[in-house]
Amino acid sequence: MGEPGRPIIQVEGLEKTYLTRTGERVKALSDVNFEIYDSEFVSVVGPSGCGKSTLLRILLGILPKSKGTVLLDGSPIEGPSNNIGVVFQEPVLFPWLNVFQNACLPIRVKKLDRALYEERSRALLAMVGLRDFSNKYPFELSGGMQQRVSIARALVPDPPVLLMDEPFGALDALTREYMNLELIRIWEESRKTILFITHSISEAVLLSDRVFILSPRPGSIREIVKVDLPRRRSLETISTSEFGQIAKFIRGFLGQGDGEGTAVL
Amino acid sequence: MVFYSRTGLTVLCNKAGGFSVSRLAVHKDKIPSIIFLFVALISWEGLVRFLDLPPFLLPGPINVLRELYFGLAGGVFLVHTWVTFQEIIAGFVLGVGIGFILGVLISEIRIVEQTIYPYVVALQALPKMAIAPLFVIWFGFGITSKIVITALVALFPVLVNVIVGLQTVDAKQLDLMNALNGSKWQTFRMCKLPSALPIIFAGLEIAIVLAVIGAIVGEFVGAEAGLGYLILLLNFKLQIATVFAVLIILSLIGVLLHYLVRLSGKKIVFWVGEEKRVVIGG
Repeated sequence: MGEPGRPIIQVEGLEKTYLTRTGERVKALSDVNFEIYDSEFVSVVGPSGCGKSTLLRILLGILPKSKGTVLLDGSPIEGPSNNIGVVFQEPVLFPWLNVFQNACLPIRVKKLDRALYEERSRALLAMVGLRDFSNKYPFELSGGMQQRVSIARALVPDPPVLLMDEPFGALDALTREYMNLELIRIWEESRKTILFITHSISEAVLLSDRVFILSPRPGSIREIVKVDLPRRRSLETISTSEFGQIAKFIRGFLGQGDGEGTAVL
Repeated sequence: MVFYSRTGLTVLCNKAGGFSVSRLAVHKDKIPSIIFLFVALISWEGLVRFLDLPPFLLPGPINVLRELYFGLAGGVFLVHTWVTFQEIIAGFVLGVGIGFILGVLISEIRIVEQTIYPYVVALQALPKMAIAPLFVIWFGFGITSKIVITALVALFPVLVNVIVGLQTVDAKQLDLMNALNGSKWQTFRMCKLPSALPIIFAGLEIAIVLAVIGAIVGEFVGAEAGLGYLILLLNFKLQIATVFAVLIILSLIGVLLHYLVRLSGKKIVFWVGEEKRVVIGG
């Protein structure tokens, strides 16, 4: 678990400056440096507006960076890559497609082998517990189920890296806990490298091998915390004193007055 | 039942179970309006008889129904209805087709938007009926000029709603297509067009109603046949009861066509709830 294998994502001196509509320059990210290793689960926590989503969009290749190097498996990210899957904060399902068709969207867009990947998509829907919901439409599902469809969709093309942008932020606490456990299971089964953005410290600690703490804008890595809790983790992990200590340590960096108090569990 | 009946037609997620429920509810819902119709017809007939109004001023409903029957049985109405119906359908299809293609080009290709959109807006502000006489000169008294007028009238609500629909696509859906490395054409076909469909159908509903108006006004300007032509002719002859009979046919056509467009909209854009229906343009 988390043993430093080969780095799959390497970020060095990354900087992003936005030009606002009024012509002002706003620095969203400043001198961001990190490496993420193969099969590692890394969470990014930080105050609102610290550039977490900007970082994710740059890694996704849908937002150009201003400065620095961003490497995926050794080669620079210059556009959307087939080796990265994404789960957004909202499920972003197409309401005119049913669950199976939504999960198969990457197959159509990337023109993958239908027979092979549709089989995979069925298996993934079963893995996220939606085997019997293939023919349902998104509006017939709960928020948690919709998000599971979007996780299955992200996994269908079998990308080695999965980026998740506060995927459970919109869910109620119970569903969120359940989804965390599901994600642990999915990660252990699929052995993806996951970069997980979250507001919740306990979520970050529960899931991750390492937690990156971002500073307020302009965002940069303030601290990297290694989470040495034994795998496989469960809800009991949360009540151990080690868990509490790590969470407290992280909270120390995020501190007060950033309006995050309620979201930080 | 009462819960469903308030909005009239009801969209339910599960199509199978929902239909009978909503149909029943619609029937129950219609009772007050049906009673009102009968009361209105009886008072109308009573008023005409009581005041002894001459039929060329205001004919009673019984008189109108008799004219409707004779007109239909004699075949006169059918001939003219067929002409107008063809004009409406052909004009609608033509207008929708051109409006759709123009709308897609304007919203997807920047240079097209910059070049022709200002003129399209200007043309939209122009009352289309004002140029109807020109079309009669260019395309003659036959069916063609009416089709062109109808198409021109039906075009704009479709054009506007296609543009609005394509430009109000959820940014997150575009992000997704982008992250999947979708081409522009794929993004259009798989994401933008389907997500614009609800608004496009709202435009089609307006377009079909305007198409009926367009055909009739076109016939008013100059025609050899059709229900609009018939209305003018009968007006001159002061056969007002027959005019009313033609109006009944005309409104039936309008209601029927609007219903068909609405119904196909609900079938195709099944994911949109009634409350989210957006009506723009017109």
